[in-house]
Amino acid sequence: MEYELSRIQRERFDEISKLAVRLAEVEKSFGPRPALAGANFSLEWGEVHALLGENGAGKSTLMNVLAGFYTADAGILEVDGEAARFETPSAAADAGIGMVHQHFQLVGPLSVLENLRLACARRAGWRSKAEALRAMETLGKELGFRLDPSARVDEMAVSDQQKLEIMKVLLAGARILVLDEPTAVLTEQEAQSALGLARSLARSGRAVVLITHKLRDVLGFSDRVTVMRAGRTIIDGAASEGMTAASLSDAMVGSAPVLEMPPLADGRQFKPDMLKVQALSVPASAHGVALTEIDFAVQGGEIFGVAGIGGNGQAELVEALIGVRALTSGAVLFDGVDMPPSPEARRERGLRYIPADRMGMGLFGELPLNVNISLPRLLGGGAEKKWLVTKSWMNGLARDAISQFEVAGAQVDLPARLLSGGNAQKLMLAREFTGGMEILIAHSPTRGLDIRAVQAVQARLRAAAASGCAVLLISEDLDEIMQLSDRVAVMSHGRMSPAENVAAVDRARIGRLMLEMH
Amino acid sequence: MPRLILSPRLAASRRFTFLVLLGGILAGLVVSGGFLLTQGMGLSDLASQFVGYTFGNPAGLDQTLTRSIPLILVGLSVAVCLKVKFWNIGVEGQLWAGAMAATAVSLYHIGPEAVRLWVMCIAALLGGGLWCGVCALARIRLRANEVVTTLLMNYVAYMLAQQLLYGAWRNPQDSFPVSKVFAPGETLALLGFGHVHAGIFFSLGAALFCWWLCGFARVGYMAKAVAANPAAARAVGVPAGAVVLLMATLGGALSGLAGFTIVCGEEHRLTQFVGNDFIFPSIVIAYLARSNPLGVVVAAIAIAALYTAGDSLKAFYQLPGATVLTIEAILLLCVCCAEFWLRYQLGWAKSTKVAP
Repeated sequence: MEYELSRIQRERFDEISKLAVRLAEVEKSFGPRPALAGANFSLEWGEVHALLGENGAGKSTLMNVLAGFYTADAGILEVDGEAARFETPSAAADAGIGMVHQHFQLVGPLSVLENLRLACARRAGWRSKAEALRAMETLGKELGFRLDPSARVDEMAVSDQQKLEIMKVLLAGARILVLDEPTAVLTEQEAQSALGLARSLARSGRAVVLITHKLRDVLGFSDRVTVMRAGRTIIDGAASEGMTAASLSDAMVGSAPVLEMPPLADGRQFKPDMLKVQALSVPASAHGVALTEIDFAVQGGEIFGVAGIGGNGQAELVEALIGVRALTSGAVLFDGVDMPPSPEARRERGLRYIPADRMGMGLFGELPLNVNISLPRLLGGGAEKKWLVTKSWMNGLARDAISQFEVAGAQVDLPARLLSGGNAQKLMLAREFTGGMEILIAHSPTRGLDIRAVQAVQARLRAAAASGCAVLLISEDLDEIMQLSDRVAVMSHGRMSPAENVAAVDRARIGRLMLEMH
Repeated sequence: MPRLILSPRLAASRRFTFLVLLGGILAGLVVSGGFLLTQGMGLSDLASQFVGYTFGNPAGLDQTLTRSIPLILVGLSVAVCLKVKFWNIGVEGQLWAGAMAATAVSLYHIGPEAVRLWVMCIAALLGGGLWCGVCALARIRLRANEVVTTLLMNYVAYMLAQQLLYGAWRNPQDSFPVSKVFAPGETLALLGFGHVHAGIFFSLGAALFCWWLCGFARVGYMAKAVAANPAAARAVGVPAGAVVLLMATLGGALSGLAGFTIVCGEEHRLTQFVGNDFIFPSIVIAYLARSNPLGVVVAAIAIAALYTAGDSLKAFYQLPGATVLTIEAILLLCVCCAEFWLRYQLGWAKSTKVAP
């Protein structure tokens, strides 16, 4: 006999089973390259759903399909149980979907309130500044934080900008929120509070997608998890509870072998004071930090880690070291001799640099890989080619670099901007690690990379130290600093703490130094 | 139902880039033809004027080639500067500076007579180079926008030339505002084909030099890096300021050389008209050639042919001189519009399954 539901029961059942979002068999290609090859994803009301995957696994592409930035080539999209197809972000927003991108979409010189009015006035139906202000205050109370409505956005901390972005999509009527790597740009404490905010949004009945590649975000803050790899869904919405870091990372990277960390030899020869910085001071630039009396020395053969929250003078220090920022006082010595002032002369002396912002300070996105790789070899007195730079010479160098550093999906004439984050970083390493590297400055070298790329980059740094190079590692990731460094110092407010052996330091104290040192 | 969708193009191949350029030029020619038809020309006139007279007739070909000599040089001037994203809007000023420098060498008998012509050539290179180099220095040191400075330097050079022609350099024989005629050893030889003079070797040589410089020399690659990402170029050790200064000075020198070919090859003295109407064609040529030095030669000859045809339009159809300018503008606009397809592509959306 068939079991019959009463009408009320059936309606109730339908309501419960209604998913906020269902994406099935979604396909999307950019040119010949498939970014999504049959991806599935389902999101329930009231949950925080982590979407995990390596760089280039298709997480952001899938969510961009949901938010109307891309249209799928094929596949099913349902929102709240109804078939949907969004041609524009604004159509998706009308359906209650809001996305907070990794790169915030705010107007810098305008105030908080102006940004909100610009983005939401029409959708929220505000007719006056007072109405907008009221709506903002009400939402702020619900979310448990307050932003100064008259603060200029480009003068706010990154974490506040992120809060503003979240307010923006909520005030525009979003009930389904997609947060694209919300913790990537935040410090530890800020990340905790951002993740807490995501949870409270879900508890209030909304649905939250958390795009991430940090296992911590998944295990600590999500209800369910979907794992993607190479444009496909590997784990489709399993409960996060009971998942282990090992099972998730297996799903993420597949069966491909994971690079082992080569142990650094115990009998390393340290060469003292290969890079020595004495009482270095630099004035503050427009939005920057002044450096005050910085003293440290890096030995050849060691990794010297500089911990600290971003924006405490790290960028200024790096720029002063590579020679693009003038010092007011102090000295930078290389093997006991004053460094020449120009970046080209420093490079010739063996200084190499991996910038935090690969595409901004490192690579030439519009130029092909072969030019990116060969350029440094064309500079200075020791240039390898003087009068005739041939394509075949450049292609040879590029092919060597691609195979040696395992740059995936690369051809010699591909513009560098088309590489994914991890592969672009490998290209960067390939370029910097050649031709007499003696001092390596690595600024957040693994930021935004997936597990395998992180391990590859870290292994390269250790290999550089093992070969006698002086490595200065500046990172906001404390785990990375502790794992790789021989000695550690902390930067805060443009000053640097005295260096300590990594075995002797205590994480809690480093954390306090990061926050409190003045 | 299949639908057309417009999507960003990730990368365009060289072949496709060339086809798009060709398509833009063809579209421009068709639109220009339509424009001339509305001005009272017949279809057969169009063919005879543009193809017949310009290329099929020795007089037309002579005029075209002679005119192309300075046009190649000013086109190269803009193209070389564009390699470092330096917008050189001052080719006329640089051309005037080169012409004045060469004339000064002749008037003041600088250097031994046997190599006087070469001294004039070097003086013209220096004059033009200085005129543009100053603007590059102002951009590097003072962040002065080169579009404004190079443009204004045009007027400085022009006024200076007027001052000299109405003053110290005025022809003493008839008091006309032109300089004395150069001595026979101070002019470029005719090649026996109408007015075409030895300056054409300077133009073609300069194009070859720029082709090597941009494609095979170290500085060409440094220039690419500075144009693509100045911050990264500096960080990796490219002397960015020096590269910009070098390329801009070279660009100015090429325009100066154009001035030299005009005063020594065509006018044989400094006149009031040596440096007129070069700014707009120089930009059109560099743009049509996509800043490729060898492409500049082709584009410059094509634009020179357009001027030749324009002259006959003026004579036989009473069309104003602005007609040629209009056609140049139409070509440039069409090529610019065609470049939309380098960044976007049109495709059919694959059919979308709809949930049951």
